[in-house]
Amino acid sequence: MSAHPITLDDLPRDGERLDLTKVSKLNGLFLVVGGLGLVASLAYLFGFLGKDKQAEFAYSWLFAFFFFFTITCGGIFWTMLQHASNSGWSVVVRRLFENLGSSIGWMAVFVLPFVFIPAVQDALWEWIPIHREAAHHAHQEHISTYEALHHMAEKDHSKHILTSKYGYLNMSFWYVRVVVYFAILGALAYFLRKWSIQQDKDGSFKHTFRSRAFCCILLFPFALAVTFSAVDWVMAMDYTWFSTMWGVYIFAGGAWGAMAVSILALTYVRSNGYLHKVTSGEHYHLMGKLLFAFTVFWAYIAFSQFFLIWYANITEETRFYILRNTGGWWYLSHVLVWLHFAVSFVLLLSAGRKKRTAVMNALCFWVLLMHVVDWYWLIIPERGPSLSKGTVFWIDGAWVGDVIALLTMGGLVGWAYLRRLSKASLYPCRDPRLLESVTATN
Amino acid sequence: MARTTLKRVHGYLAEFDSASDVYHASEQIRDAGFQRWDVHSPFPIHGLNEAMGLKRSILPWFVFFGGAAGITTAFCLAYITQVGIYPTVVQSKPANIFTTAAFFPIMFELTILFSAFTTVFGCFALMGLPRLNHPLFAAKTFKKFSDDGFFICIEARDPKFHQAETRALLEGLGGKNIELVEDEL
Amino acid sequence: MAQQTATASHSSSSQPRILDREPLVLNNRSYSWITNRICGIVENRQPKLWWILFIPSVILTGIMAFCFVYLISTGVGVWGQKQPVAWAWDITNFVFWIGIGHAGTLISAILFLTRQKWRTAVNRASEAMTLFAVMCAGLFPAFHVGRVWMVWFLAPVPNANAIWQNFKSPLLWDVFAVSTYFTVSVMFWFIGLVPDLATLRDRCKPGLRRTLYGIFALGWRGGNRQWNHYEMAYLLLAALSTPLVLSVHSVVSFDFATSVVPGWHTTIFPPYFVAGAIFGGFAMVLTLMIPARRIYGLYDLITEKHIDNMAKIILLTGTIVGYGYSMEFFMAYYSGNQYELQTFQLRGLYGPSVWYYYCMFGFNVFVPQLFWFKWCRKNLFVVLFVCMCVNAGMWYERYVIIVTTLERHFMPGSWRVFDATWVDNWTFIGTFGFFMMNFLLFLRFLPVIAVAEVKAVLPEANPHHDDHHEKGVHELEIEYGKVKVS
Repeated sequence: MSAHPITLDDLPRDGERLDLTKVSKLNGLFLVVGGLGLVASLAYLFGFLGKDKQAEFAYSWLFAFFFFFTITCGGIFWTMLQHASNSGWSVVVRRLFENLGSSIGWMAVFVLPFVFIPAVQDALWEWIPIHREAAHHAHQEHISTYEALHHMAEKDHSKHILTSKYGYLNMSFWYVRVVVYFAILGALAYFLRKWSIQQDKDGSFKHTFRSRAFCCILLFPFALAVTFSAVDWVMAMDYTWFSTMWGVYIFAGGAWGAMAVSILALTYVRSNGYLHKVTSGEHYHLMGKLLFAFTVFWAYIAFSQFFLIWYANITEETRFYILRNTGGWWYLSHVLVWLHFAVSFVLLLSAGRKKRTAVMNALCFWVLLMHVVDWYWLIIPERGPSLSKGTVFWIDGAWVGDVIALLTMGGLVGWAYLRRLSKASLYPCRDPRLLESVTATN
Repeated sequence: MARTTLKRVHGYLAEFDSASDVYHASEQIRDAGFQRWDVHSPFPIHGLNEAMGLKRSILPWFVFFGGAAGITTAFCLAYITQVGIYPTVVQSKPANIFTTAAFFPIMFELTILFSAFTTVFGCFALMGLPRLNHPLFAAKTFKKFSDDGFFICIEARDPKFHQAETRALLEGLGGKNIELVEDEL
Repeated sequence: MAQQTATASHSSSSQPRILDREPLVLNNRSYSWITNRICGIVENRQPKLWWILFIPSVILTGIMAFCFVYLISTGVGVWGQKQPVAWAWDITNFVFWIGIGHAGTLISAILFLTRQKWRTAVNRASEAMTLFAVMCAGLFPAFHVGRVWMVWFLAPVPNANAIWQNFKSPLLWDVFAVSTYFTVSVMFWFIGLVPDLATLRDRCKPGLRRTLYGIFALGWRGGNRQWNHYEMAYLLLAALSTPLVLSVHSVVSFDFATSVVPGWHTTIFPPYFVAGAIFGGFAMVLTLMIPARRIYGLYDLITEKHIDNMAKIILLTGTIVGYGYSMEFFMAYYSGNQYELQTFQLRGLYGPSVWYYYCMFGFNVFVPQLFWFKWCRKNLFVVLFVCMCVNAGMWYERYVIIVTTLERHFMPGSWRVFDATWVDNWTFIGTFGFFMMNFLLFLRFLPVIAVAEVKAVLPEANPHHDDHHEKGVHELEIEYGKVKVS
């Protein structure tokens, strides 16, 4: 506790602006990596490197996309949570969450290959080529697609399940849903950031109140958007598999990753001389506690999902875990148990460690790395069996595409994030709860 | 037991008006270098540990080992009985190390139970409770500590304790109703 | 840019506006007012209403005891369960009560960790409520085993043939979870009580009361060297109880979800049970505290803000429960599994007990939506109405999950609808008497509000309280979008 308690007079009334020239090194690196990666990715995605590579890269793109998409959703979630719970401590770091959530615009661009490139869709979601074939038959025989699917199922009974799911898994509804997800998430990210920045200028309480109402009302639609996007894009890679816990699992991972990214961003802007007046070890501690809470929450959800499927051991569900416990994936599953959960848990346990910025920084890198592993484990094991019709589990050399996709999106999203940070004050400088946040203690 | 009139000085007890007063007084007493003294208040005062120069409680370490003992106990209990001495194949689960997931709920519960026991009993041990009598309970004003009184007691055991100077110090810090607390032997 | 600077300089000349938090204790009450008001409840004669509630509670407890004696002496046939509904009323009631027993730990632990200071007004009573609810819950499985004198088989000791318990069985996990939960809750409650027992001790005249309070206060002196460890212990217990409270209802949900029964085996059960438990528990806390607040005149301590907050939590958890119901239904369809789908169709569309499902959905999901409106959160009759609906709705939820699922098992030949007998009904009603009796005794003998904790959230309890006053316009939100200068 300093001798002179901080007051609003000590803070610049118009906040602190990030000067892009100060961060030009990192930002340049992001742009170069992202730009080069984009060229390579486009070559893959449009099939210039061959049909096989295109199909393999579809998985890479989904993996990278889903990683950044869930972290973006996490950013939106943290912004919403602060507004909805009317919390005070988080004001000074809220702009970091807001800007992270605003990456949703870029996500809407990165999702386009899934919407517009049929080869990518066919490689990822096995139900889509079957539906395409059905639509083709339907067109020739002048019957409905559903009926055509039914005819196909009579010849091949394994397809029967698609007729039961037709009401949800069909092409037109799938496209509509993509639009709806981005509408909900985009509206949240856009308005919350817009109102917050307006408040920087006029200091009106109106923005605080309407953000709160907006978040409360959209909390449920947000939950549905995250859940069903995860169902559509990842769970439906195997159209026979299902788990009611799925949405919660994806949400837990995303919120966890988003908190780690925000702590890293906080450290980065602080290392460039910003936010020193308003943030302190206390804020690291508070954010560290949330990171810790989500480590435990993720583990709870992950364990429960695994445990119930493993214990009941019914054939409809076990495929997901059998695949991920076969061959090399077995080791990756253990990495998740021991390194993702156990190590993060033990390291985050200490209160003193959470207050030390350098240690927290290293921990957040670790957390993010493990989050990459988690999503890799979630998506990539499907690639081998899907593309080879079940003969191989691991496609040699396809990992190059995974790295390229991750770097491409990471570069571009990171570049845009830093630019967005520089567009407005780094913290909401006229928020009515600013002082409460600056003086927050644990 | 025959009552004796022999008494031993326990220390000085001074009353303060508010949490803020007692906080600032504590800072002074800490800086004066006293070791055996305490602040008695109806509720924990935020930041007083630093003002008194107290170290963080070591309780978490006890609890860490309590929890470790709990998880080990549970694992051994389940593993030895189900896999070791009487391999039991139920719920189509293997009778080897890979059945551990099914023991997890019990391992978790016992970790919590043992940790909680260590927390509570460790806390009592560190606080020196239960203790049904104490010289302070004989002090005239001390009862107020559990209502709205804020007290500082500097014990005679403290090497810096001096009958006149300590009293003057407490008076100077704004202490009221200063009382020499004595312990019947 | 030029325009922006102009606006900026304009507003920086004006006073900063600060949005204050509402006070947790109204009317600037002093420390001793709080002590007197809360300890007074224990020290003075109880109002007539206390006796009006207490006597029927004792009678109902007697009826419950009679039902159990009748059950033991006659046999489990006096209950309504028969194949295929072997888990029926008793397990429903067990899950119902254990769920109610979750709010106490939630308020004391999770709200403590998230620094929600308003919890201090209600944490003591809800912890007490937790203990009594868990006691009620424990009765049912104990008697459900049939030969209750063999209940020690549940404890981890080998039987006469040196056979140990099956540690892979969800039912045994339940034993561990519930008994751990009860033990830890008792310790948490007791550690919170120690300073308040000391307050009661110091106010008593010498005599039996003082001796008893003195013994349980353990010689508490409120020294900061004690508070240092005490606060750490409280924090640790909160940190331990938080995963514990999640685990207990998760383990209860494992009883169902590890099975292969359609309608029971679903992966979302653990968090969905936990959310439901918090939801039902909060409703029960409000059901008890709104009358207690009125009877004992605790308006300044349990303010409208407190009730408002709890109503919002009920709205939130009710919506999470709604998410759980919807995901279950969606996945039953999406899975393409005909048994799963049929179970849900029988539950919600055309089974013999669809009314239970409608009650569950309506009471738990639709009725709490009233709390979107400030007027409903302010009007205590509406709040109580919603809480009563939730209390009932959560019972229906357990009934739907347990009984209506079993009524329609895999084999249509054995389908049968469950009918509760009078013993079932009166045992359940009796547990409410037992619960109320315990709670009323708690009101009579122990401080209903955590005295020390409430004092600690007063503004003057902060030693830096009068160090400085922030310049600017301090405003207070009176209702959505409206502020007044404070």
